[in-house]
Amino acid sequence: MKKTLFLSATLLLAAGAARAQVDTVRATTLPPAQLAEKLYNSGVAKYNQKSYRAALQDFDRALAAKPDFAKAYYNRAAVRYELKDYQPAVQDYDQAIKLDPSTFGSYFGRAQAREALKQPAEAEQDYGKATELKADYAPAWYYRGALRFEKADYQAAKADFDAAVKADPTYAYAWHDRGSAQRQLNNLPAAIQDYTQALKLQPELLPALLNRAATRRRAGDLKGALQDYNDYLAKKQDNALAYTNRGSTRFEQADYKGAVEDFSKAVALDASYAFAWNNRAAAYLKLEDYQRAEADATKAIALNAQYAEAYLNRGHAREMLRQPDAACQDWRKAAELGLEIGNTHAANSGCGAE
Amino acid sequence: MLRLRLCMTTYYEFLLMHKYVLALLLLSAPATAATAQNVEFSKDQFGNDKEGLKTAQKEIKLGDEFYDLDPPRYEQALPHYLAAQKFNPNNAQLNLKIGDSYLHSGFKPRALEYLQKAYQLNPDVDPRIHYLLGRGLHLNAKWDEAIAEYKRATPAAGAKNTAGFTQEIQKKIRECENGRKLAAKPSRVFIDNAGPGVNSPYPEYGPVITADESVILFTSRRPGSTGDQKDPETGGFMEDIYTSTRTTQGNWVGARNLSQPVNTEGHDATVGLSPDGQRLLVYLEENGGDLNEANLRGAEWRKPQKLGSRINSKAHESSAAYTPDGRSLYFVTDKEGGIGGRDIYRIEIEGRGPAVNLGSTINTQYGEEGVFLHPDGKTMYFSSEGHNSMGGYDIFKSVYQNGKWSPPENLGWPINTPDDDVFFVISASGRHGYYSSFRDDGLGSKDIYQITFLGPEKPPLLSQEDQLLASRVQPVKETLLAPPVAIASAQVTILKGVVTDEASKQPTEATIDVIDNSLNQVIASFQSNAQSGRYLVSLPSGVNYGIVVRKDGYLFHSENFDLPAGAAYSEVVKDIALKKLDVGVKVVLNNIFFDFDKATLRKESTGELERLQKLLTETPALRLEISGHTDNVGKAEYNKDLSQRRAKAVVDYLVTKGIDKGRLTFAGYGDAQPVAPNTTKAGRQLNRRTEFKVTGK
Repeated sequence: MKKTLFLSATLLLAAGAARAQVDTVRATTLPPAQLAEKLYNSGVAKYNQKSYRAALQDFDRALAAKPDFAKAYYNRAAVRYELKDYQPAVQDYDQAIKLDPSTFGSYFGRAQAREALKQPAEAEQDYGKATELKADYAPAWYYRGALRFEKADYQAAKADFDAAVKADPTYAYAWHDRGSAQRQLNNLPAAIQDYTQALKLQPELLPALLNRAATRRRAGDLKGALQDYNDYLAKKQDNALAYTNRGSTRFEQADYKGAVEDFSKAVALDASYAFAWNNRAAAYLKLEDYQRAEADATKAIALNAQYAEAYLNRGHAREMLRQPDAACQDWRKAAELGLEIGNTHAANSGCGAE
Repeated sequence: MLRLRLCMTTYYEFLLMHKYVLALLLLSAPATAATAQNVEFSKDQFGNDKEGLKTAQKEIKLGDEFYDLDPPRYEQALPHYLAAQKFNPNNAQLNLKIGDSYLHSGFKPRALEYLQKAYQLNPDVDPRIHYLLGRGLHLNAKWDEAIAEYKRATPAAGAKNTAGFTQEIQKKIRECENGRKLAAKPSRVFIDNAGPGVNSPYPEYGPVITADESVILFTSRRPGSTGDQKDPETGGFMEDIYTSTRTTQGNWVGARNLSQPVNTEGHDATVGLSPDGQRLLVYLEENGGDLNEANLRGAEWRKPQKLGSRINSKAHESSAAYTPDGRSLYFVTDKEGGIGGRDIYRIEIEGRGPAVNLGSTINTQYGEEGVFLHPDGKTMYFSSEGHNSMGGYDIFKSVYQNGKWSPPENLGWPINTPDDDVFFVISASGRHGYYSSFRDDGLGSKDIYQITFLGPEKPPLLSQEDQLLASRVQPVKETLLAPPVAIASAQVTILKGVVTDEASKQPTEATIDVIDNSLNQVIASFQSNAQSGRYLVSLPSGVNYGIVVRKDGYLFHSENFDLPAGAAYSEVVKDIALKKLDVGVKVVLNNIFFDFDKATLRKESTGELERLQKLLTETPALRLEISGHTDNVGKAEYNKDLSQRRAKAVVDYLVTKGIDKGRLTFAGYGDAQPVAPNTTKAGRQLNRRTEFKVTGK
C-alpha cells in the first residue's frame, strides 16, 4: 500500500517539476509551415494526453525532418522515460545536451533516467550540472541530496537539502529528507523540527510522523514518540512497519504486552515481515514466554537466513528452554553474521571452545 | 555431625527448651480460650468413634514425648502429630505443635498453614503465636506479612531478657526487608537437583568438587553407611562420605562410598577438596569438632590426619577451604577472640604463625560458615547470618583486591532463601555452583542441588527500519547498537591432563611445579595421581607461569602460560609424556624468552636456565646441543641467523655459570625443523622455540 503511495507521490512530483520541461509554449511561436515543428507540437500534445507511443512516433518523424532539433530529442527522451526505455532516453538526452549544453533540464532528465538505470554516480553528476545551470531549481538539489543520503554521505546530503528548501521553502519532501539527514547526523532536535515543518506543509505526508516518532524515541522522548505513532495509526492501519515500530517503543517503555499486541498486528498484516517476528520474540523473552520467543525467532530466521539479531534472540530463548548446545550454536551464528556480542554470550554461558 | 546452630541459642529457642514448663502453665490455665471452631480431642466431640479418638490421643502422646524432650526432637514428633491431625484437623494446640515442629524441620515453609490455622481456631493458642506466625511467613518469603507479625510479637510475660528479644525481632525485620529487596531482583540461575547419581531419599549435603567439576564428594546419611549404625540422637544413619563422577553430558553417576579408612563408624563429613581432588578436608566430631585431611594416593584415600593445633582448638572448627596453591587454608571456628559467633580465619598450613581473622568486612557479630575459595585464589564464597542476609545463613561472595576484601555481595534470591543456605562451592569456570537444600522437587530429605549461573540478563535485540527518504519506497534499516554486557567469566585457567612415561605410555606420578617466571619463584607444587597420572592446576590470571613437570630419572618438561591480568576463564588439557635421558631425545624449553627480534635473554628465562644448569651439574656426562627454531615468517637466512644467535646466548649463559664449554654445542635451524604447520598462529607459536637435544650421556 505504502508502495503505491510513494510511487504516485514521486510521479506527481516528477510530472509537476521535471516533466514540465516538455513545453509547447515555444512551439506555438514557430512558423506554421515548418513540418518538423508541427510534428513536434503534435508530439507534445500527445504526450500531455499520455499517448506516449503516438508521441514517440511524432518526435521520431520530427527528428527525421530536422536532425539537429534539440528540443525534439529532449522531448523524445521524456517520452522514452515514460515508456521506461531508459537507455534510449539517456541517448536522446546526450544528443540534446550535445546540441544545446546550456539547458539544465537535459541534465536533470538524464540524471533521472540514469537513476532508473541504477547508475547513481552518473546521476549525481548530472544533478550537479543541473544545479550549476539553475541554482534555484529545488528538485535537482533534492534528488542529488537523496542520492548522497543513500551513499551515507549525510553531511553532503544535508547541504543539498538545505539548498532545496532555500530554493523552495514549500518543498515538504526536502524538509522531510533534511530531517532524516539530521537524524543520521544525530542532530535529533533539528531532525524533529524538520519533520514537523514537512508535516505542516503537507499534513498527509504521513511517513514524517513515523520518522518523527522514531527520532523522538531515539532522543528519549518515548511519550512523544508514542503520540506520533498513535496519530499515524489513527489514520492508517495497514502498515506493518508502523505497528512494528510502535511495538518497539512500547517495548522500550517496558510495556511488553502492548509490544506483543503491536508486533502481532504487524505479522497479521504482513506475515513476511521478519522484523516484526524478531521483535515479538524479543518481547516474549521479556515476558519469559520462551517457547513463543523461540518460535517467533525461528520464523524470522526462516524469512531471512542471515538475520543475526534473530539468531541472537533465539539463543537467549533456547538457553532458558534448557537447550544449551542449540543456544550456543545460535549465538555463534549471530557473531558470524556480524553481532560480535554473540561470542561474549557464548563465552559467558560456558559454550566451550568453538 | 555438623550442626549449624550448636552454640547459638536465640531467645525463643531458649523458651522452647523450657517449653515443658510453659506447657504446664498453659494446662493449668482454665480452658476457656477455645473458640467455636476449635475441636478438642474429647468424647464430647468424638463419642461415636472411641477407637479413633483413642488412637489419635495416643499419637499426640507419642509426639509429645519427642516434642517435650530437651532438646526437642521435632522431626520425630511430626509423624505422630500428623497422624492425629488426620483424625481431627481442627485442634488449635495440635496445629500449633505441628507448625512449631515444621519450623524446626527441613521443610520449614510447611509450618505456615498449621500456624495460621492454629491462630484462626484460637487467637490465644499460645503467647508466642505472633512470633511463630512471623517465622512461618518469613520462611515462606512473605516479607511484608512477616514484618507485620514480628511487630505484633511480644516477649513472654515475666521474661527477663526483653532487650534480647527486641534485638532479635529487629534483626528478623531487617532480614525481611533485605529479602524483599533481593527477591525483587532475582539472580538469573537454574537450580537443579543433582539427580540420583548423587541424591537418595536420605539426607545429602556438603558437596565439594574438583575445579574442573569432574568429581564430586559429598556427605550422605543413607543406609549402608560404614558400620551400619544409626545416630541414637536423631535415629538417622551415620554420616559417610561418597563420591560420584560427571559424564560428558553433565550427569552425575555412580555414587560410591569412600569406605574405610576415610569413613568410620561415626559421623564423617566432607568439608573441602583441593582443586585437583587429591586432598580432602573431613570434619570429625572430636575435640568439639575438628578438621582433618585425607590424601588420595592412586585410587586409595588414606586415613584422615588431624590438622594440627594451630587450626584445631577445643572450639568448633567446622568448615575449610584450600587456596589454589594448596599452601594456605581458610577455615571457620568459633574459638574465643573472634568478632562474634563463628568466624573465618586464614592460616599458612606449613607456617608457624597463628591463624588470622579475616576482619570485620567479612566476619560479623553473627555466625559465618561454609567458606569456599574459588580456584582464582581471590574470590571467596561463604555463608553468614549477618550482612544483608534474608534469614538464617545466606551465601555471600567477596573478592580480595588491592589488599582487602570487597564488601560481601549476597548471591541473591532464589539461591538464598529465608532459611539456612550454607556450604556452597563453585566450579572454576564460575558456571556451576553446588549446595544442599530442602526442596519440594527433591528425592527426599535434604538433597544436593546444582546451580547454573546464567550471568547478567542477555538483552534481546530489536530491529527497526524507517522510510527515511520521502521519495523512496525502500525503508532504511536502523542499526541499533546492542548494549554492552558484563563479562562474567572467572579469571583463572585450569590446566589439566595426564602425565605418562613416554616409552611405556603408562601414567606416572610426577611433581608439577608452578613457577612465577617474573619472580623466578615456585608458587606451588602438586603431584600427579600415581595411578591415573592425572593432574590439575589452577592458574589465576595475571602471572607469566612456568609449569615444570619433573620426576627423578626423567628429563624435565616445561610449559609456559602467560596469563595477563583479567584473562578470561579457560580450561587447557595438556597431556605430558616425560622422557628418559637418552641420546637423541629432544626437549623444548618453553620458558626461555628473548627480546623481540633479538638474541637477548629476558630475565623471565632465569628459572628455566637454572633448571638446565642444574640438570647439567647433576649429570656430569651429559652433553647437549642447544638449538633455536623459528616459524617461516620472514627471510630464511635471517631466521637461521637469529635462531643461531639465540641458541648461542643460552650456551653462553651456561658457560658463564661454570658448565664446561665442551659439553655444549649450539645450532640455528631457522624454520627447517617445524613441529607444527606454519599455517596457523598456534602452529607458528609452537615452531618458535628453543630446545635441547641429548648428544651424549
